[in-house]
Amino acid sequence: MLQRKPSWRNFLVVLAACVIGVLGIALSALWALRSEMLAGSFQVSALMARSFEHHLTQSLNATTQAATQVLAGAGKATDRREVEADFKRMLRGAPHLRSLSLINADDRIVASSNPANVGRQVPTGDYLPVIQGRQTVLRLGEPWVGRDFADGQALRPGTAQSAASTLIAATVPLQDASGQLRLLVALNPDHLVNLMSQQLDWQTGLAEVLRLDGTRLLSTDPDHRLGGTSDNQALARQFSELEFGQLESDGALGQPALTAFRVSPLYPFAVVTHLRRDVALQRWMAVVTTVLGVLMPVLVALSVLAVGFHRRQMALEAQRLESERLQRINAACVFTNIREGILITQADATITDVNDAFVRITGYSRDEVLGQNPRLLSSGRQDKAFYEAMWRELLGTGHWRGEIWNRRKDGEVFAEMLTISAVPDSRGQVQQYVAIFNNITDMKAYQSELEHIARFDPLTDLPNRLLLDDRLRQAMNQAQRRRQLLAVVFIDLDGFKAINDNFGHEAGDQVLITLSSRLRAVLRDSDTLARQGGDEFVALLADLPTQGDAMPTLHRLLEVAAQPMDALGHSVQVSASIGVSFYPQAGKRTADELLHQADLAMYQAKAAGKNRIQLWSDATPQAVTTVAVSPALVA
Amino acid sequence: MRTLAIPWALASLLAASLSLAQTAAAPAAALDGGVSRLSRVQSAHSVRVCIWPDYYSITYRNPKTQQLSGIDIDLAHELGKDLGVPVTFVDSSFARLADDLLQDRCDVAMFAVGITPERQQRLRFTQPHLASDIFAVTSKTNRRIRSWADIDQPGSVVAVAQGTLHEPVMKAKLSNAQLLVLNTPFAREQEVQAGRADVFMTDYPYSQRFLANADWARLVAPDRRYHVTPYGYALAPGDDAWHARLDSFVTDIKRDGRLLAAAQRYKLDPIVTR
Repeated sequence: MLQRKPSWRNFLVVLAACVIGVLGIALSALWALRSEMLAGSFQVSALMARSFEHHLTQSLNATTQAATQVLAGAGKATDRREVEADFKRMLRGAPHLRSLSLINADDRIVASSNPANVGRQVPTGDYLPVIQGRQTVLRLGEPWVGRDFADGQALRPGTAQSAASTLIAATVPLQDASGQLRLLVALNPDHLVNLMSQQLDWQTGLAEVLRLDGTRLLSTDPDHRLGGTSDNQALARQFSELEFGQLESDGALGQPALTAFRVSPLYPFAVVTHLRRDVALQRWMAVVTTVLGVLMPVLVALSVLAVGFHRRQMALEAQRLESERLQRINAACVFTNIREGILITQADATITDVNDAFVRITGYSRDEVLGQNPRLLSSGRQDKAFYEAMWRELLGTGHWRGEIWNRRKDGEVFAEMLTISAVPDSRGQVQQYVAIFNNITDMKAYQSELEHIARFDPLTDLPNRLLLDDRLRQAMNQAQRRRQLLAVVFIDLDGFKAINDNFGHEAGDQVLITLSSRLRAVLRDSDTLARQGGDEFVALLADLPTQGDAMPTLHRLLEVAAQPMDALGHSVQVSASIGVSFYPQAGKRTADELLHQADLAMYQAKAAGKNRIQLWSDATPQAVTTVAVSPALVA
Repeated sequence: MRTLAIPWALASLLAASLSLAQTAAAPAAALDGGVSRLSRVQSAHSVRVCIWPDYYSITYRNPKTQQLSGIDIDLAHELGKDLGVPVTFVDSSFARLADDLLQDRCDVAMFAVGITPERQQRLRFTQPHLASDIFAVTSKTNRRIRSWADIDQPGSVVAVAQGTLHEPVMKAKLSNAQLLVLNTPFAREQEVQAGRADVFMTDYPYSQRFLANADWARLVAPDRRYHVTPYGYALAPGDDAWHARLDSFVTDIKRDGRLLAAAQRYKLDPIVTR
């Protein structure tokens, strides 16, 4: 969870950077495109200015040339009809001309392609360039209102502008002898306006022709004021220094325009073109709209997708961390709290971790065992072969389970039930071993106690009939192996029932306990004394070279059985009748048969008067040897 | 109405009137002793057709390629085919039309000749194959003429080609505007373009074709039917056989679709006479 916040922040920073980057690239590309389009439009504006200027300059030049040649000799009044016919011929195919006239020194028209003009006075003193003396170059006048000089008038400030026709007056010097006559040209502005309008309609921009002093001679905008206007003065001032140029202005159009101008190299006028900037950028705006219209939704969609994807990643990551945490918590919890001792080693059996139960069971602290080998726990009770077998199985199957005796730090040996598991990595290589064990010492003690109860008589702690049976078979085997005799001695007490009857069972039990220890004391350690039940005992006397070697012990048994004893405050006395059989005998004998023989011999001893020893003989069952005891003992 | 005639126009007019006076008295002479032109065309193995080579869509000679084109060029070839003789084109104009026919410079004038009472007095016509109203053409920059009603106003100058049907019609119709009668090739257009005239008057075929190729010009159409003139082929009067043959040719091309097909080629189907 701690990683989550910075991760979101990083992601958002990267996403924002991507979005800003893409937008930045797009916007800079669009901006570059805008500059390029403006430059292109400026170029178009300049090209048109150049083209219009060139057209007008060439038209004027051709007219000047033609007029000069045609009228080279004109100057005499008699030729004027001829001159007028020439003028009319010149007008053919020259739509930029309205009329051609000859004007004298008094500015009066003396001949004209339009006879109506003759006699009309046209003041030319203020035509540009202003020249004192003989005229040598073309001079441009002002716009006129009217179809021709005959019916028109020069446009002066304040003149109504609504006229249907206008013309532009210009005078051209002639090579006449008198030097008095000049050519007066009525230029047809409509022709040039038409030409310019075809390439530059009013929705795109406008073109105008200015005299060098800023006087507007014509414009493609029919609503434009002709003549001297103030709005072109600033531009006109540049004409004296620059033959052509371009600038952003909003004078002529009343809105931002890409303006280019070009000054005629021959005559005192300049052509100015204005392209509307919004029209020039119209296509760019369309591109911007399209690009942003596509790009923005795409960016938004991609961002939403990226956020969704990232959120999913974050959720998965959180889920993974959570499950890892739970796994860790559970493992740690189990490790710490489990009752079993846990020991973890590396593959080389070096201890890397132990749990609290380990510390409790072994008495070693955690720090004492880390880095040690588990053999420090060894009790020495298992031999080398045991450990080799254990490792073989562990390496072969990956686990081992069994009981093992180990030694605590305080030296106490304890039994444990141990399970060892090998923990492999993904490639199957053992990385560590995990051993889990229980202290089972108490359980083992209880088990041996149960076993004791099963095999010993609880009253006298003598082996019971079950253990006797076991011992008898062992003794029989041993006797045969050692070629010695085994005596099976059946002992039955005489007069014991009277003690029970007179003094109670507790007194009887006391008698049995006392007698048991007295009888036991008579026997060697290698002999066995078992309680057969009631007041019957069986003794096994092993390793007897002869039957006679048993006799001292048998008599001693009679003797100690007959000695008086205390039973709950009563002095009592009993005796014993003893039957004996020996093993081996001629012929095969089972344990039960030996016991039966001794039992029979005991009954014979009883029958013979009690307190005596009767040896069993298979040759003459009746001829058992009765060993008489003194009568005193038989009371 | 004031007529302004510049001297060369005046001279031409004078010449036309003179020739009119000469030929009016001698139509029979052209017939050459009663022999029909039909037989002569057959024997000469050629039919001479008068055309006006400035007539867009009708009989136009491209000045750059000298190629002839137009509906009546195509139909003249059809006539030649029908007669079984080749066609010889003879340059003429509306100003010279009557002279050329009457002085036997051509056998027939095939350039959409307007059938006017004035011409009918001197010439004979086939049945009409086209009919056109009058249209005006002005310059796009002209501020005076915006609609048909602006034409006949004081200060307006209206140009017409000499000898065309427009000359007498406009002379009769204009009461305020000034009429400029011109007779040099393309003079009407030049006057309007240079601003010396405001409009020139023409017909449907000429105006359509002209406007398609003059980017400075603008059409001014009459608000309602102004003066529709039927167009036919003109020939010298008399000579019934020749007239009958030509008239039946017009009937034939109307019937078999050659007229309509040729008209469609030059986008003149709206003015075909059925």
